[in-house]
Amino acid sequence: MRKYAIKNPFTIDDVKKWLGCSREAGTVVWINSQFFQAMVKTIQKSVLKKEYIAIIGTYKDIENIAYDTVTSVHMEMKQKAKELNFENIYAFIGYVKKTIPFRIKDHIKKILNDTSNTNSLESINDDENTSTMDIPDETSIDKQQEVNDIQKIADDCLNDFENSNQLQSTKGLLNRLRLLRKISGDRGAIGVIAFLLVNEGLTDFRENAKKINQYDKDVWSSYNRRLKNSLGNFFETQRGRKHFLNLKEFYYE
Amino acid sequence: MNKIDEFDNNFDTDEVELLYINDRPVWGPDIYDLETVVEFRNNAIEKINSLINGGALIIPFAKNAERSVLIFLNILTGKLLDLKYKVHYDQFLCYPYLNKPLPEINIWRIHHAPRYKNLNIMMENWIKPGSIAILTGLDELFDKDLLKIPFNIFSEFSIPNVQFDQEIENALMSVLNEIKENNITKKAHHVVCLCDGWGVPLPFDLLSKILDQDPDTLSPVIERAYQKEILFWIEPDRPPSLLVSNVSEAYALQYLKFLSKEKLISLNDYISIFEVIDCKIQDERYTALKLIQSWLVNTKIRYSISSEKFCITQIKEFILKNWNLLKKIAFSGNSIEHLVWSQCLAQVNMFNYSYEILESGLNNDPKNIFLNQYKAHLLALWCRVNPAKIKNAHTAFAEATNICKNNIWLWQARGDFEAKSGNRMGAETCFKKALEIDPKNIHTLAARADMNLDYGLLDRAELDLKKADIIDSQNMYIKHLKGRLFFYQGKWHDAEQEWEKMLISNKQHPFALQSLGNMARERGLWDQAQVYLNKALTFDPENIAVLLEIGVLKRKWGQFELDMGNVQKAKEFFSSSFKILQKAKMLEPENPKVIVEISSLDRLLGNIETAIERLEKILLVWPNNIHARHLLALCFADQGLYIEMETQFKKILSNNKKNILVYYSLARINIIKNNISRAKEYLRQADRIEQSLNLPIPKKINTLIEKNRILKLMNKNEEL
Repeated sequence: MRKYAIKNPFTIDDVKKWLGCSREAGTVVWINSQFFQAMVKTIQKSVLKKEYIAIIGTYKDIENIAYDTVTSVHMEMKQKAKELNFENIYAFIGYVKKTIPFRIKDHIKKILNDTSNTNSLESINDDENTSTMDIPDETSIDKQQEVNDIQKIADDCLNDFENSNQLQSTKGLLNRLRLLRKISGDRGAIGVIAFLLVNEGLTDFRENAKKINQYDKDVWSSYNRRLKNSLGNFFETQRGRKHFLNLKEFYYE
Repeated sequence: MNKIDEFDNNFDTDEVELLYINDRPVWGPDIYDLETVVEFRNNAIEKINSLINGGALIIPFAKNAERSVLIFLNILTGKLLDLKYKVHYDQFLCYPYLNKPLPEINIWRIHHAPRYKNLNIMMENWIKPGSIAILTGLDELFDKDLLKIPFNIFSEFSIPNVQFDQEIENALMSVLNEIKENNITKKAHHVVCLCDGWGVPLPFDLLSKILDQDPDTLSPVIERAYQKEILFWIEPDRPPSLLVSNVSEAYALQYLKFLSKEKLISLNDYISIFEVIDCKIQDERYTALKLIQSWLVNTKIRYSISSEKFCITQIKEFILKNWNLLKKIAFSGNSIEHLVWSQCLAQVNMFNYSYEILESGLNNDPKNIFLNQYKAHLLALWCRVNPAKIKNAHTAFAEATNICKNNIWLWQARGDFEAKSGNRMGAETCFKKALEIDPKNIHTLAARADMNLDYGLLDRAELDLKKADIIDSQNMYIKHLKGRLFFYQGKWHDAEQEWEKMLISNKQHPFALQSLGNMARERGLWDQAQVYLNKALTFDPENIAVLLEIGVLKRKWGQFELDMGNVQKAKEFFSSSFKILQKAKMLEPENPKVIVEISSLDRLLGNIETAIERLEKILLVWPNNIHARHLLALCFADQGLYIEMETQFKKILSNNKKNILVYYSLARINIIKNNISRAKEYLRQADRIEQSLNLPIPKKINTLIEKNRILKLMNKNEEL
């Protein structure tokens, strides 16, 4: 039995009625279907992935900007309804999905311009296609040496984390961290941190765990959540903070 | 792949993710379409812009509208960021207190604002021209009238929906059915609901300790429950936490209501949670403080799930019983935790404990402006039950106003305190200081008018109320005081109109209901008084002023019935008055007004010795309490101890020679003693005093009634 009725499909007729000025149809398309929320979450996810370290601190701003952007796109579509003629709902969803990343890029550029976190803005501007953001890998960093350096910093960080009190007292989490480091492959230590913070490389990690028979769905997800929380708490300690700042500084260079 | 699956694949998110707004699942209907929300957003921005001198935009919401209000809030915030405002978000899931934002912030968004005990003190210190707070909170908890800063209300989300209760009930039954065979999930669901019903998601590690389960074993169980939408993970970044919640607070509360049908919820249900809290772990310390804060603010919820088994008295007992642990928790926290613990303890009248925590906070952080300010507020509160603290309160206010020279609210609070301590001139000076900072501060004008009404200086009060009325004619404080002024002037109809107007804006306004009840009683409209006061009590079952007013009403109504010869009816009223006063005594055992009122009833019921014992005790603490001393004198007279009686009356007159009621009582006693000429002399003295005083009309009427009774008694005696 479905406990919480939430997503309801809408049809292209609903979209057409909405563009033809029916508020009721607008509710069906944007609200009852959770399309509005889904778009907001999509933006959050894509921005979060790109900015997995830099974003801490401005994350909430991005979330609210996402809400406002989806609202504006909704209003603008209504205003230019005559120009829009969608064949099916996939065309409609595709249009919204394509429009929003560009809009949010402009929006964030405008809004974050005055904040202290301008590095975050720069990295968004550098990337034209914000809808397919990934963490930087070897191809986006000029020198191999830099890659090695960030891996070294991330490695030191995870070594210290592994030896911290909070992890030494929890056997399950200690083993989980060791497992993640083992299966991180080319992603290395920085890949483990990115995976824990924003689920980056989720599929790779999961598949690698399956390969060595270390994947149980519930254990896998819940241990990772707990480990993420432990890492967050480690970053709040004096020692962890130092590592966090090193990672952040390197990332911006 | 069927059509719905294809449709779903076009979204990048799953259903569980969509339940989350601002980091936690919030389940409920979306009550408005997007275009309406955009209109609301624009209206809200207009309201924000109209608060040019700073203030708050209050957004009360019904429990079914929380999801909608959060979406609206995010859209509004996105636009405000677009308009170049600097917005600060309070992390409502984790922190049990409000912390002042950075100086560049000009919009402070606080969700569930009424839950924070330090809301008022933060607002009073933060609001200035250009700073706006956006405060949301459940409608029934928002005591908007206690907020002293200027505000606008945005009430589009406060319309309740009964249908939603049924939807929650269905979801609850579905979950309970699903977990009935799974013992650990069932227990986890129960414990999480016990806390989330108060808006407190549980830290995962604490949950595993409460359930006595290894975290490594428990976490996959919670994960399975999460996949099935039974329990939910909450993972805020700041401070980093891993919490477990239900699909919404409204759901958890529904579960508590469901449980209470079989067995009422009491504080015993929470002992196992507090027992395992480790004060060194921030998350766990916060859980304790959040629970206690939420209990204190949610009076109505407490009564709805536990009848009388979860009232302030029980919370106080619970704190006392667990004091060693709670003290450690409070002492381990930062300065603001100290402040909030101190505020909570003061609310349950544990003033010495509250003071101890505050002092500890001040030892660690002597210059903290909030702790210094609250020290003065706390001592002023403490003075209500312990006059020995008056001197300390004077000093604390002097120190606090010295540190925060331009805090208008502090000067005003100092004025209030001086006025209540009988130092009217001192109070005038403080109010003057406050008005020098902001001549148009409506609350200071109201506070000064209030003082002048208390002192019977009606002309002065009227002057301030006129000034305040020009500034904001809709202000509830001013409406209430205007009603009081009319009442004192004997303009019953005008007073009633003012207070009824307040009820149109807020049907549960405690001041309005209490004042209407009081006026109806003074006019002998017993039934009407009862209706108003019962209504006030339904909305706030622990309002001590209302309980006292009902106690007085029942006693006076009983006396009236007794005069009419209806002995049985009178007995019933006295017994009902006694019951309600006992409840008041349980809530505030040291409140002198409650003790005097109980003693008055004791005297009527013939328990003179008990009354004398109580009154002598209270007079040791409060030697200047005229009501207690007058009543004690009458008790002595009842026992024929006239010398003791005269001693008490003389003590009253040595402080205030113009106390008319003493002369009337002396006259009455002398008639009984058949000393008519002396009685007449006392009556003449009372007349002279009455002519020299400008008494408010209700008091004048009461003195006339008393005089009339005495004259009747005198005639009767003379005839005999």
